[in-house]
Amino acid sequence: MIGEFEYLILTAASRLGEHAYGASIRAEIESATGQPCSVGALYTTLDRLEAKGFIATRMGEPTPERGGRSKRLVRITASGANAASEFFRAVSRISQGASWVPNRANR
Amino acid sequence: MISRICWALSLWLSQALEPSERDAAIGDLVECGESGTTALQAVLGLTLRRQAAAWEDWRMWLLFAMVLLPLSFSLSLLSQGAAQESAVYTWMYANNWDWTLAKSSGFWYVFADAATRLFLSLLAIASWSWSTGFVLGTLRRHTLQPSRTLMFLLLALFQLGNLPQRFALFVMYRYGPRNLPALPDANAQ
Repeated sequence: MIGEFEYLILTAASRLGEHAYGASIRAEIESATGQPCSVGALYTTLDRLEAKGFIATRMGEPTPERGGRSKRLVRITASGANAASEFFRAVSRISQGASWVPNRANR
Repeated sequence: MISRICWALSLWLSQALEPSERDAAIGDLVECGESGTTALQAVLGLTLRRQAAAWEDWRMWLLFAMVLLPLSFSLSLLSQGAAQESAVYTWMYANNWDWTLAKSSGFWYVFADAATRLFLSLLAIASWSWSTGFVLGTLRRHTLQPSRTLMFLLLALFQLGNLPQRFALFVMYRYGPRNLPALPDANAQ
């Protein structure tokens, strides 16, 4: 099973679609968790996910707002989506009945 | 000002990354408008992670033990030997200089001998450095950068700790000839 940080990256990449790249994924994660996301952790995890076949990356065109540097565009693969879905289901299952889960009385 | 310096350092440090990763990471930091200190922290973190990842490969350890350690040790030993010898002669000439020495043929004989030995030492250092660089240049890309960093650190460590010289002295003391033949007594009848 994937790790929580891998899950965050896969989910952010999935939400961002074709606009998923280093800076946008980082911003999504920081906004969702309220914690800083280090560039080192992000890029090493992207490599790991790519090696596992959960994402595919390619270099985009250089843009002026990046000082003429390219983006590393990220696309989630079908196996990546399955892995993220499996992680989500596992977290949902184990969270049932936990005191911090809202609407636990309705479950 | 500090931010500019940190950005310059970040760009310099990012040379250790793969070109595509350098583009992506620095571009992200520029796009987010990060400060120099944050950029430096981010690039340093990424570079360290990349360097650390190389050590997961057993071949990196083999390279360290069989190539980097002996090369840096020998280079350090050579340079320390040359530095010590040249320091002794420089001190001797600087502290005892007298223009009348220049008229002495003995002085020029010793000077020529010292200069030749220094030149040969420097030539040996240059040749050894070139050979070391050549060996490092043949390494694959993902092991090249950690090897260069490690070589630098080993040389710095050896120079600061004077370890090769101490080791050479220890070996001479431990394994050198024990009992030298006695010199003939000039006063013996």
